[in-house]
Amino acid sequence: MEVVQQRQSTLAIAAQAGELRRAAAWLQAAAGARGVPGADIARLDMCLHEAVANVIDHGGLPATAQVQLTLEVGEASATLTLSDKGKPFDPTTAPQHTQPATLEETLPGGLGLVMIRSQADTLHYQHHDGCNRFALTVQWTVA
Amino acid sequence: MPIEHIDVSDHLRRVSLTGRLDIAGTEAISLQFSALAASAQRRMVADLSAVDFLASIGIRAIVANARAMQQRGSRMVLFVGDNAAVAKTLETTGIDTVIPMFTDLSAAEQAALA
Repeated sequence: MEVVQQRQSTLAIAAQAGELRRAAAWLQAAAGARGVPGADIARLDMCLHEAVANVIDHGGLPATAQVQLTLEVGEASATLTLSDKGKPFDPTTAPQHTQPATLEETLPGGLGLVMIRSQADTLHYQHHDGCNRFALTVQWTVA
Repeated sequence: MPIEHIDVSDHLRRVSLTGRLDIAGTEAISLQFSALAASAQRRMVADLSAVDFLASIGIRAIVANARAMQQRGSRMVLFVGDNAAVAKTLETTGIDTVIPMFTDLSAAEQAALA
């Protein structure tokens, strides 16, 4: 496959669930064209879904608001950054979901953050000029 | 179809989910999955071996139905086969400790009926 030389790709989506599959298709294409290994695209795919779902569910944004997605690919890493103007929320410091002991006490919330933290190698959050910027990086070993 | 089922016996039902259990995929199977979990007689093996992508909303649907079955005195177990990605997601979130998870189908069926 021909590898795209341009390291960065961007996509703007509306803050609504119906946009998630378009975002996933963009990620697959943009990351694949830049040589990101399949297993690492899968990790980014999970992070993208859960992070955008969090913005939609908790950001307090109208469905017409935009979420800007940026993928930047390096030699052995790829960073997906979400930018939105929803309520400030730092996923890197939010309390860890408690592992359930019984089915009865399994809580519905917080799973997305657990999944993001388990899939991404590094997370970075910044709130600046009314904008959340959440960057998730995956790394791989170059043979 | 992203959801299919086989009634293995009068006491056991296997429900096979396929494809992406993201928001759209989970919404597409949600009603049918709940209806299949509502059987008064049959326990369930939820077959996730052909699920490509298991998001938190898909996990919540599984947990909600497993809990409803338990409250009725029934049981759901999970079969993942060699689907390492789905197994890892269930382990990471701790769901495998509250809903038994199996890589072997016959072991899953025995556990559902135990």
